[in-house]
This record gives sequence, C-alpha cells and structure tokens, in this order.
Amino acid sequence: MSIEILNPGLSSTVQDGGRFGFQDKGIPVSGFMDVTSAHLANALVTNEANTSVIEMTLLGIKFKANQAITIAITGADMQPKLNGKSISMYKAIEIPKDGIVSFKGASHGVYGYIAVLGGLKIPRVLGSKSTYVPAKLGGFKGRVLQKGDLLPVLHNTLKPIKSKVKAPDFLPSAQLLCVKGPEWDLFSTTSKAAFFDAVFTIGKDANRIGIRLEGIKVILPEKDEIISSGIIKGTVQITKAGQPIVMMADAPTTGGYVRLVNLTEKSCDALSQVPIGGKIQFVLK
Amino acid sequence: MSFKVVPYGESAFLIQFADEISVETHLQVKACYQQLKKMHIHGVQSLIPAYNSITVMFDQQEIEPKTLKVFLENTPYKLAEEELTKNIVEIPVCYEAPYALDMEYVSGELNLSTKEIIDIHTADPYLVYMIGFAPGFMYLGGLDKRLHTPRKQTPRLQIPAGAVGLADQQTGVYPMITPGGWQIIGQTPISLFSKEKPSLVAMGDYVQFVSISVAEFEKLKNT
Repeated sequence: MSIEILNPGLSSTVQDGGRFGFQDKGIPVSGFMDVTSAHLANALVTNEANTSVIEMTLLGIKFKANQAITIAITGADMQPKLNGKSISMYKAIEIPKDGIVSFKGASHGVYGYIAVLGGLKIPRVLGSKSTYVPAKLGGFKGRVLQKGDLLPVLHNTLKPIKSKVKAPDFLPSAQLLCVKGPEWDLFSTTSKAAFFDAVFTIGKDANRIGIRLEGIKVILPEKDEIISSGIIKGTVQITKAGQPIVMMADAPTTGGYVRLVNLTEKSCDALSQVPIGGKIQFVLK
Repeated sequence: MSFKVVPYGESAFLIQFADEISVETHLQVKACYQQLKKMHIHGVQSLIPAYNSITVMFDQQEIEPKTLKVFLENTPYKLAEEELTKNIVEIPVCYEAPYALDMEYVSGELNLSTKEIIDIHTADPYLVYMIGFAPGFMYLGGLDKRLHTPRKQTPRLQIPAGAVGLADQQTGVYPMITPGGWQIIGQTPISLFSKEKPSLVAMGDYVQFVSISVAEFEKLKNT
C-alpha cells in the first residue's frame, strides 16, 4: 500500500497542520504553507482538515500508485496528468493501480497539494507528520522526497466527495491584510504611511522559513532591535537594513528584529502562492 | 508581577514583561510559563517563553480570543518555591583539539592560557534564560567578562553539532550543524536535540560545563 516517487520535483515534503507544543524547545511549527489549499484538498477526499498531504514547490512530482487510491490536487497549477492525460484539480480523482500521476512546473502559484484519501501512513514525530528539513524532523525520513521513495498510504474504503470546487485565482500580485504587530507603536507615522504605500517585490530568498521583500527601505524606529521574543507565522519583521521579512511555516521560534505588522492567516496563504518577482502590498485590516 | 497582554496576529497573545534582561524578570516569565503549561488550557496550542515575554498561540476554533485574554490577564501567577530552586544540568565539553577550533585564537585575543579559559568557562553554572532560534539552542546568561570575545569576521559555513562557542557577552552550544560566527572553544559529545528528547534542558534550568578529555569525548560519543 504505497505510492512510489518516480521524480521528486523541486522540494516536495509531507506536511500536516503543524507541530504545536514544542516551541518552548525551539522547534518551529512547520505545517502547510497554504493552509486553505491543503484543507480544501483534504476536504475533497473526506480527510480531516489537518491530515498529512504532499506539498510540492514550484515543480511537481511524478509518482506511481501501487494500488488504487483516491486523491485530490489543489494549490499551484502544475498541470496534473494521469497516464499522460490531463486530470482536474479541485476534485477527487480515482487513480487505478499502477496509474502514473505527473506534474509540471507551476503556471500559477507556488505550492501544490496532493491529499490521499485516508492519509499518509508515516509516523508522527513529536505529534506531527510535518517535515522540518533543517533538523531532519518528521515527514518521510525527515527530508524532502527522493526518487524511489515508497510513501505508505492508509487503506481506505471511504467514498470521496463527488463535486468539484472552484479553483482560487493565484495572481502574480496580491494585497495582503495585516494587523498591528507588537512593535507597531515604535514606528513613526511617516514610516508606516510609506510602508503601506509601497509595492514590494518577492525577493529570491523566499522559502518555507520566510519571504524577504524588496522595495523601499522601511524607516526604522530609534530602537531598531528588541530583546529576543516569540515569532509566529505571518510576523513581518523589519531587519536593521530596513528590509521586511515575512516569517512563514518553518520560521525560528524567536527573533530580535522589530515586528511591525502581522499578516492575517488568509493573507499568509495568499502570500505563499505569490512567486519570486511577484508584487505585494500591505493593507491594514 | 507586572506584565501586559497584547494581541499578536490573529491567533496569539504576547505576555509582555519589563523591557529588560534580568534574573528578576526571568523568574516572573518562568513562573507564568510553568503555570500556564501546567494548566493545559483548552485551545492553547503552544507557549514560547523568552527573556521578557511569552507568546501564547491558540486555536480560534477552540477558544474565544477575548476569553483567553481575560484569563491570561487575571490568572494569579505566583513565584513558587520549587521554581526558584536550581535544576543544574551538567554538560561535558572537550576543550582540546580537534574540537576546540578557535581556542588558540581566543587565547591570544583574551590574553589567557587555555587552562585559564577552561577554568573560567567551567567555574559556575549558567542560567538558561530561554530556548529559541533553533531546536534546543539555549540563551545562557552569566558569562564571565574575561571571556567576552568578538564574533568571527566571516561566519563558518558549517559548525559541528555540539560545538561550544563564545560570542560577545554570550556563550552557548550549537545543537545542530549550522553556519555560524561564534568562536568555538570546545565540543560536547552529547546530543542537545533529538526527536526522542527535544531538549535536554528547559528555560530556567542551569547548565554546568564540565571539562573532559578527548578519550572521554570519544567514549561518550559512542554510547
């Protein structure tokens, strides 16, 4: 009962709802980058929302189903095919035994999700199946998927949902809703006005840890550093060089840069799907 | 105890204590953190205790933010006796080659012999103010002024797991292989982070470094 990875794509990992409860030990939460898409994929195959899925980054995988399985694909459009023929996203799809599912590079979005009805049969590490690669923690052997991996899936006889849901639009630009961050009051009115006026570009340092933004240099308050304090997904830190970094799923648990705003959870999902070079703008909720 | 509870994103609160790094503030954070942890509040997913703050992450589906805020603000946190007792964790460190990568440089820079550096570094236990930045990484307080050493001009691309270093007013242990700019004066053979034991020490513990020989290092490494 497994799926066999024939081509691992660019950086494909197993993720679930996240590893909570160990942040006091310095362990990042990890979990889905785009929670909405992952939840949708799970819902389509009647899995619980936070069931483990395969998360693909920019370039999708190719796998063989060693038995008949039911999957749902959401997130970035990587033009999925079954045995060479296009298949629908946002809909439960039955894959026959020995069926080969393949993906291409993402035409829209960044992170693609494959939910398997019943879920992936891998052990939980510290309560979660999410992969945190830097500490070789969780997921499939604590690493990104590789060619030849046999990913066990749970046997199931459940029936998936028949209907197809509407695919969201992943645009190369996004308006991101945010709320005031812990150090909001330290920044001057002028600095904040410039921050919300600016259009930022997603820099090449964009990954599961965080997304660096290029554009204006944010005017820092006099006190441009804080005593190391907690970091959560969506925290927008301003570095001492005035560069905003949005902390994402694998963010370190603490940091010392000033925290200007926090993205809403839906905006974290939207941001995760904006590719390098994409444009974003912050809007105060 | 003086603190305020401020919203942090949509699903967290920040309990903010005095704007300082001090033992007094640390003990307040510790008492508050330990009590919240013991309570297992339904809907609270995680706590991140730091020098002078605690981040409380919660699930909006499970608990009303307003309810949690009122709860966090009104819980009578107390500094319990047992929380003030010192839990000392001994960490063996080999301060010799090939593990003490920068010992020669540090010795020259500080104008101290290797033996003096080891004696000072192992003299007293260090307070673990917090764990953060990376799994199992301890922020230790109480480094003797004589060992304050500037960071390396160019960080090493790879520091071995267990490396013990000095950086400005700090000392610490790298739990995993990472790039880093600390001056390495030794290495511990024991694992500070593993999935079986996510961290050997907790915030509020004390760490006592104990000097060991290369032979003892090898022996401990292989057990």
